[in-house]
Amino acid sequence: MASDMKRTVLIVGVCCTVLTLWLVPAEPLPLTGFRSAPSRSTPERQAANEIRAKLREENALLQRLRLVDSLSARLVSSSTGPVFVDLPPVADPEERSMLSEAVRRQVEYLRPGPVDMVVGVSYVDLRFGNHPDYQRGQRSWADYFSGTVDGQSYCLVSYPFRGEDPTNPRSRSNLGNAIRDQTSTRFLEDTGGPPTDLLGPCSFYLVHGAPGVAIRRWLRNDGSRLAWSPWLDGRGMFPPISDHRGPFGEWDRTRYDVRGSFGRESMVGEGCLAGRIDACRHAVLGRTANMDPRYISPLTHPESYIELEEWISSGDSRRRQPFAGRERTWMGDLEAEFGRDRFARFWTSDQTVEDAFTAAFGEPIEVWTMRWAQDRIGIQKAGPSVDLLSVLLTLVALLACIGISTATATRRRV
Amino acid sequence: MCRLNLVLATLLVMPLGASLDGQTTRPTESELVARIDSLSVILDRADSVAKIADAVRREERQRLLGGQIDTLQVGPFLVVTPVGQGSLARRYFERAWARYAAFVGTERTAIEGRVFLYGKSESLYGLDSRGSIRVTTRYLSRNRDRAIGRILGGVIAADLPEDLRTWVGDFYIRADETRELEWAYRSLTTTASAAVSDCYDGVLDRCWDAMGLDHQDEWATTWYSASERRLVVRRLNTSDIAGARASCLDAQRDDACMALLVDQDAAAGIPLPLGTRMTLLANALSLGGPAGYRRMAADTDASIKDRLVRISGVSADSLISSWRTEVFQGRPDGRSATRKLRWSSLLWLLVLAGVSTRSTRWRLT
Repeated sequence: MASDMKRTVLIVGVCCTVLTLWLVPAEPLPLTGFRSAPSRSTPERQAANEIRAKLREENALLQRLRLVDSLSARLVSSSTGPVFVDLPPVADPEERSMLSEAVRRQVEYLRPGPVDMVVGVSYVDLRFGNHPDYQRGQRSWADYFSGTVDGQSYCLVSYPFRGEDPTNPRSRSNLGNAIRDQTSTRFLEDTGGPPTDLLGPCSFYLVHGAPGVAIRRWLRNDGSRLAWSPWLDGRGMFPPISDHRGPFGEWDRTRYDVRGSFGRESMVGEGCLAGRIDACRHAVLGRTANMDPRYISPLTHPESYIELEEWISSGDSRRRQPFAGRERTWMGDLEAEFGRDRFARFWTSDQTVEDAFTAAFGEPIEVWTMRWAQDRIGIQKAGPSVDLLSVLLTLVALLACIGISTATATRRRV
Repeated sequence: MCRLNLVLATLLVMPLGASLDGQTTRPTESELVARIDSLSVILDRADSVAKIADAVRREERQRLLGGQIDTLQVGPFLVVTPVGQGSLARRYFERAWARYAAFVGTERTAIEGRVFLYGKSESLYGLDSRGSIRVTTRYLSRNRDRAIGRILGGVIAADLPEDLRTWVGDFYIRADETRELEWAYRSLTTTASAAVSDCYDGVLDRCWDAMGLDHQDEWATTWYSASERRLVVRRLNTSDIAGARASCLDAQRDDACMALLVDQDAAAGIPLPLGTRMTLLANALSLGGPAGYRRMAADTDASIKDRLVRISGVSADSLISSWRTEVFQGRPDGRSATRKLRWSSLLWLLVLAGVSTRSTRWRLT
């Protein structure tokens, strides 16, 4: 019997070793795929493509420059209140009133203080400002700018729309739909909740005035992704982590609703949720990873127009954000927790972002960020782990086996 | 080649030195326009140099490739493939073509005279592929019969009128007709649509709705019930009127669902999937024979429903009834999926029984 048992254990051990060696590679598998393949273009073709990309970037910069120059001049000369709605002549009165009403609701909700700031909201043809040789350049997202004209500080929001193409008689403008999609409240269950966020980061400018130098640099350097309001219908802003993750903290795509919820947190976001303080710091102060630039238009690269000093941000949501876009309310939540005065001290501080945060709120930025993230999303399990139920079931099974074998052995001895 | 590189480097360095330096101050509009103008000139020159370099590279490669490729005639088209893969490529393409030839007959189609380049992308690199279709094996499905059949169907579909092509997708005829009908039967039983349920229950007129070929103007209300409309909204990429989606899905307000669906094209909401629609087209073609294919390619005036009827050469009721009968005959065997499981269970039972009879206690008694 004993030799039978030894033989069985030996066979099982050998089989397990063979399977392990077979299935688990001793070293990482080589990276294969088209990304690792060397380029097949000639060096001359690659050089020509690089020049073409540079040309598109220059055109994108020209578009933004013309946009901010024309809109800011009109804003400062025409504005009569804190917010100026600037629509093209083709907009009909109903569209004008829808946009004005939505802006009025947001301003009422924000209750701006007496700061020296005017904000403009405009819809501009997405091809506006192109170089004559590059008429196909299109803006895809809203652009946000801030600066000073004739001593007046301003913040500009410019939404793109597709205007009628004079060369194509079948083309139709989508201005009406663009405004309607952005402002309609017909189907809102809770009309008393936060209004449509039309102003984006400019809402903070409207309430607190122009930010300090370091804060402004941070906003331009991707910090503006933290300065939005929640989606109007609360589209899955903060679903609990268990909604899209399994018992071991792993991403579970079967539970994830593509449209109803935000996407997957990045490695940085997961690190922060798992309690890594450096990750939390990087999540709010570091730049988010861009998508591979080969697959997106140069017109959406902020790098192409960041040299424009008035530019703050684009409403581009295709970046890989640490908390998958949920951080859009980070600043709003900060203001709600500590109050308007302390937030204003942080916003207008001349210190670095970290020093300004600690001075205004009394704790380091990464500590508050970790609390903010874990309270809203949940704590992410990191590293290998087994869930409690499995541990208990294994222990019960082991105890049962031991009990049965002991009882059997005892009976045999008798 | 070195001379070309030298020319290009000179072209790039000379005018860019002034214009592309790291800029620290805001450029003016005129500066930017000037930068773009000068870059345009450089790009034109660089493009012409690159064209020459591309042509030189192409010629070199084609010279190296000479004698390493086979050209095969399969039906009305050619297959170009590396030497050594010829017999395999011929087998795949002939099998795939046989399925289409049954419907097309000797009719002239868009596949006539086409050239398919088949093989690993590395082995095909450098071949002049203008006007030909590359079928590279790296990203091709392991089920080569299906993948190549789909490619051939896509080429033949170029003959079809655009609306028919949109409705049926790739003109894809599966290798296994039984399986195709099984899938159609499954879609009839599982698609959440009032029209599909009625069709399953035998209301023939409703089968045209299920196919998306009737009542397109009021599709959201005719093809779907209120609860099914919510599923459609969940599935479709509807335009986002603020709050409407949440109102439709969470508050279950049908007016919100309708507001989201009203702008959608009927084609986006067709209940039965493309594969099932293809079974109806295949049924019509098999009833109409090769003449049916000719009628299908030429007829563009009537609605798709009327065209299918003309292709088949029978009445609308007969066509849809014939299709439905065929699909019901293809009803899958519900127990076939568990056949392996049953054998595996039996085997394990025998193994465990064998092990248990070898225990010490049994042998002692």
